[in-house]
This record gives sequence, structure tokens and C-alpha cells, in this order.
Amino acid sequence: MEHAIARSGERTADAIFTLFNLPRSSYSRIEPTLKRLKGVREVSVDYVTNNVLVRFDPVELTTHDIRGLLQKIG
Amino acid sequence: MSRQSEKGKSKTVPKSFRIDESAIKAVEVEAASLNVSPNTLVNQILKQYAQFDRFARKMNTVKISSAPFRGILSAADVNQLIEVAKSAGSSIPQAFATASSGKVDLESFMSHIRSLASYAQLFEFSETADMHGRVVTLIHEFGLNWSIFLVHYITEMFAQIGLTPKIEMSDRSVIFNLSNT
Repeated sequence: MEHAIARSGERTADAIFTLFNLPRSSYSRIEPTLKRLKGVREVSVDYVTNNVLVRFDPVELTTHDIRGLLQKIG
Repeated sequence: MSRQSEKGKSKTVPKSFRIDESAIKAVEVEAASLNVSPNTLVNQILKQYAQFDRFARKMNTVKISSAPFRGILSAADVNQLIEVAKSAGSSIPQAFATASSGKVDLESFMSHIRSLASYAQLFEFSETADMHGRVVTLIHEFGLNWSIFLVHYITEMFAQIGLTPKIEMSDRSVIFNLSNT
């Protein structure tokens, strides 16, 4: 996923979270669960590096919100 | 023929290879356990090689478990750690940027930081950007000495292109702020 810098008044945010504390059998639930959150624009789970990359609207939610949801999935 | 797999994702192209039987069996077993297609897993393995491993190898990168890494950091002399961080920050990001994009600039350095999160698991990464600049937060569990290392590594890296970010740190995080002005 390429990073785009906001060139207008738009704010964008990207975050890369590690998934080491999650059972790997839960990984398939990450993308549909995160995409239900208001403000989440893109989700990309990497099964090789055990990361999830999330692009979101920082006005709508924070990395703390996303991390909290990831912990619930586990 | 290529196709855009999903909006915002990079395009895919069909290719045919002969693959070692034991390797593809391992991939198929792993993919089944993860409930994803072997295609997804093979693509991500190749992306890791294309975007990180082939450049990391040129810099004699080693892989180490997180527990001994944390232990080595906590036992290190802080002044020597800072010298190592400055030396590494003035050379490694440039080498990565040049090898991967052919350019040494803000975007190639940011790409280097993202790669260290994605492929080396050295920290979690988040970035908020708007027309005024960007705020980058690195969160980790390697202790205060790792934050000190990162602060000096990043400071030296940006000094190479004439930038001086505002940096804050704690024992679990490093936050740097780059203004567009």
C-alpha cells in the first residue's frame, strides 16, 4: 500500500501494528472487523511479517482505538 | 495482462514458475492454517524479498529474537549506544534509500522507517499527515535504550537531508514531528 501525503486540508493516517499477541487462526477476522470501524479506509494483513497496515481518518479514530479492537479479536 | 486486485492495492500479473515441491507444500499447509490462499502467501513472501530482504542482505543484516535483543540493549553503555546510533543513522538509511529507490530524500527515508516496522518488527509505526506536516509515532517494547538509539538514529538520518524534526521519547515510544515549512 503506497503512502499518500495529504496535499489539501485532508488529514490522513497510516499505522503498522504487529500481530504477535494474536493467534494466527484469528488473522482472517482482522480485515472484516477493522473495516466495520467508521474512519477505516484500507486494511492490509501481512501473513508473512505478522503485521497489519491500516489507513484511517485520524479525526474519526486513533491508533489506540484500532489497537483495542485488535486485542479483542485475539 | 495485469489487473488491479482491489482499489488502492498494487496491480497483479500472472506468472508461471516451477517451484521446489517441499517449499510449495509448506506454503500450502501454512496458507490452509491461516485460511488464506497460497497465492496471497506467495505474493507476500515475494514482497518481503522485493521490498526489504534483498537490500538488508547487502547491509549484512542479521535476524535476532526479541528477548536477547532487549537484553543486549539494556546491558549497553548509553554513550557507546549513542555513538553506534549516530554512525548507523548517517549511513544505513542512505544505503537503503539509494538501493531501493535511487533517491535520498524525505520520502525514501520515511519508506525506510516504515520498512523497519513492517519487515524487521523493530517497532510499531503510525503516521498522521496534513498540509502542515507529519507526526510519526514509533512504539516498541525494547526499553529506554532502544528509544535513545532510535532518537539518535533518526536525528542523524534526517540531518543528512538538512531536516531537524522535533522529537519526544519515553521508554516505549519515540514521536517525531516534521513540519512542511
